Amino acid sequence: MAVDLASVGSALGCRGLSVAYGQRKVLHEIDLEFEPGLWTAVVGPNGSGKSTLLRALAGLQSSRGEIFLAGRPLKSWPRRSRARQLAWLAQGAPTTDLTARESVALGRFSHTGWLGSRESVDEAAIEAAMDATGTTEWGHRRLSTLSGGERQRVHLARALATQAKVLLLDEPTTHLDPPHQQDVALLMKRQAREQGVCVVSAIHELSIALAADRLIVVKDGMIIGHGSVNEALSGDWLSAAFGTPIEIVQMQGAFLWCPKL
Amino acid sequence: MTAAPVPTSDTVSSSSRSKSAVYGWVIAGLVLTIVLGALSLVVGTTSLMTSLRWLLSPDSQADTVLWQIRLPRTCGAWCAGALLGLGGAIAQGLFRNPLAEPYLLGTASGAALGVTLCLLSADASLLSLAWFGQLGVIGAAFIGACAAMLLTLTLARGVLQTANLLLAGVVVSFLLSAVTELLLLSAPNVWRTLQSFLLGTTGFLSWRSVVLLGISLVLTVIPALLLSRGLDALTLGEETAQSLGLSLPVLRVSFLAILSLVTAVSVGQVGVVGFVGLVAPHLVRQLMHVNHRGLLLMAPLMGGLLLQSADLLSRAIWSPMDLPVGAVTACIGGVYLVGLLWRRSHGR
Amino acid sequence: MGVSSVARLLCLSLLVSLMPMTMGWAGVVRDDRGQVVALSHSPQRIVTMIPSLTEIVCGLGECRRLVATDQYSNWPASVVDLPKVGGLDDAVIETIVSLKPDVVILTRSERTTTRLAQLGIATFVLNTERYDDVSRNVVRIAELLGVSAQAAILNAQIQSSVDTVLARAHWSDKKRSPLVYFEVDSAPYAAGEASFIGELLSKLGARNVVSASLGAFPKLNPEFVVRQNPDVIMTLPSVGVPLDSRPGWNTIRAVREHRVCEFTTTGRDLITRPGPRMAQGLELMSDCLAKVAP
Repeated sequence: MAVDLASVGSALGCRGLSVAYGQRKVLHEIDLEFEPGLWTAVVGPNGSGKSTLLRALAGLQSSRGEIFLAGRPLKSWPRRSRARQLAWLAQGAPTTDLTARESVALGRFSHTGWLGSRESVDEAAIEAAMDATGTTEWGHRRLSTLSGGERQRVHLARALATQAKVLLLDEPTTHLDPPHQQDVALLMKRQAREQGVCVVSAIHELSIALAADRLIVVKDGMIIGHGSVNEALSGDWLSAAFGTPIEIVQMQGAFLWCPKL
Repeated sequence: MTAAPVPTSDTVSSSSRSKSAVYGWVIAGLVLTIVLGALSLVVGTTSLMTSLRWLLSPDSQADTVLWQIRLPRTCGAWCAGALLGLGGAIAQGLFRNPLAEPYLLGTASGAALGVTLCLLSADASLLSLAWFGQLGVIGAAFIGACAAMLLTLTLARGVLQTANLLLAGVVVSFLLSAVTELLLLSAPNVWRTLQSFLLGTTGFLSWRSVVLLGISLVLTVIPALLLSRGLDALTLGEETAQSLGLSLPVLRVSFLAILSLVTAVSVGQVGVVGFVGLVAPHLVRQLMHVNHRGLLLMAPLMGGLLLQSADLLSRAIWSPMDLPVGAVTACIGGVYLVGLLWRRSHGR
Repeated sequence: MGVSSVARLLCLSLLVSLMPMTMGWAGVVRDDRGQVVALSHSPQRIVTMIPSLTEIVCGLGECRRLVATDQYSNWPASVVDLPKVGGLDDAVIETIVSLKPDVVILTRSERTTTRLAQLGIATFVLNTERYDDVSRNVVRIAELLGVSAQAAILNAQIQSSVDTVLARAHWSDKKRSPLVYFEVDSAPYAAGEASFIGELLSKLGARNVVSASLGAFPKLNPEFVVRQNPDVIMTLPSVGVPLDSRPGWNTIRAVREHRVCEFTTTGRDLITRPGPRMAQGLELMSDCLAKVAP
């Protein structure tokens, strides 16, 4: 199986991935593969296991089954090389007394380590990440003085600053106003297209999720479908996942969800 | 995105500006320390005039009082305060709780139990404790603090669960205090000594204590500074810190080891001095914005200044009596916290 | 005031005045709270809550009336086996009540006295901190127990023992009276002139480094002791910081010239209890001075 995943050249993959909290099974025997250069959105109802899936893939959640990062078992990666390869963004944009720039700089920890000072490469990565997320102007403001949406963007910048090949983003668009949701969506798309990064993000807003290259639809800890948006729509995976008819319309090349009100 | 990029030079200069601000405060703190240290030479049981005369034309008693008693007492108080300030900053960072303080893993009650056992050993009826008496109060306090820390870690089954650690710390504190109380029932005459220990005491700090405290301070501040990035990462949450490539067990074990050393050494030398560890990091954060590198540098300085001032007050207020230094710090700390609450509730 | 109440008062006072005639019993005794303790008969079941008062009761020859003492009372030997009802402030109220004492003799302890009063148990509160308290307490307790005659005998005994010790205090031939630092605890707490220990020292003619103005047991700045440079140091048993390892203390004459007396736990009981055995405590201190004073 390891040979399989490695040969396909997938950036990240898992086989038989299961997670249980005590007796309760949250993820059931999941097989997935993520290619570099594609943005995949993970959608599903609340509590379906989206966050758990991302945490397990990031190696932050004890799980059964196998996870492969760039063809190598995730567990065999040394801690810091793994962190250079894979960045994870937590849900909920926690607050801290650090300044925005200090927070983003922590994204370079995997490069500098405990003691190393930041080289110009590191500084450049930090600048670029803050630039891309529009957070440069708050550089020396503490996160505790920023709004939820602003903090969310700073945390996103931190994940970008790592310059990892795999980005696992848990709800990167929450707290954001619509224009910034659009910015972040574009950013994810560009990271995949231009940098060849494998972006996997759990996303609530269906209209944003439907802009992704690939869709993974999760329900009750199982994958209902994994494929392009068209496949998802023709298979009506979303209605199946949410247990209620979900109507998607296409308008000027974009897919929109029409709530029935 | 939409925001215009700010020139690189500006951010660099601003970060170096905040760095130089921290160094400015460090220098200010050191200068204040030296001023207070000089002042301490003339604060004691003699009048100011006598002290000044002693400074100008020392006799043998002046030598003893000024250089063997007052100065080591001040230096020792400063070092012990610095250890507590460092401990407070570490505890607050490690447990991500602004109310954490150095004694939260049960070290204070462990030390108290150690001292009680040591004092009890003086009673002829308790020969089994005789070996404990050999340790002396300082050794007993140190061993008691270490034992309590180990007990806490055992109860918490390691270092992985922060909540477990805190809970175990509380349990161990109460448990050991209860044992101490029970022991005191059988020997009320040690109560007064224990009480003075529990309120903090700087009276008998000698040059030897200063050396011990100073070495401990160097041995703890340097590794703490080297690991400070870990505490910064921890402010983003434990999982995020892990995802950054940081080993939580390494971080926790290192800082807990530093915390143990800091509290055990200080508690052995000056007893249980409350509030310094809690307040020093808060005072630093009030003065300036610091990341943990700055905090772990400034909090010891602030703690040192606090205990040094408290020691000065404790000898000056009611001379020739000595107020318990812990009572003085509790007063200072209490007033500060009330001020902080008042300012918060009045919107700034 | 009506006629009937005057009559009632007369009757009562008649009754009260008759009782002592019949049983050598004063009947109404005022304690140090200023409260009148009225008992219908001379108390036969007594609980004492502090060693010095236990010793006075026994010194009056009435040890057999004790049904319990506090846990620290250890003299005379006969009280060792009596039920122990805790300390003064952590008295075991339930045991005391179950022993049905006629009176509990104790020193000031608001909590214990109040609780015992609520439960209908008479309490007799005496101050027992100073030298002069001893003879007064002997008289009061003797009155309470209805053995007033014994009081004079006991007080005379105590006084003559004290006089004997003072007469034999040879050290007083020496040129000047020694300056003494009496440490009750290594914090350091000292026994000042205002304490019972300090009073004993004064009786012996020694000077105390801690004047009465500082209170009975002040917590001193150790530097103060170094500056006072006492000739003699007396300590109670303690394993605090040893004298010679305290900074600067090796310059103190008493430490330098080994003029230090550490009393035993028995010695501690004799020296710290303002009771009938205080002459023995005085003697210990006198012997100490005779041995080590310059």
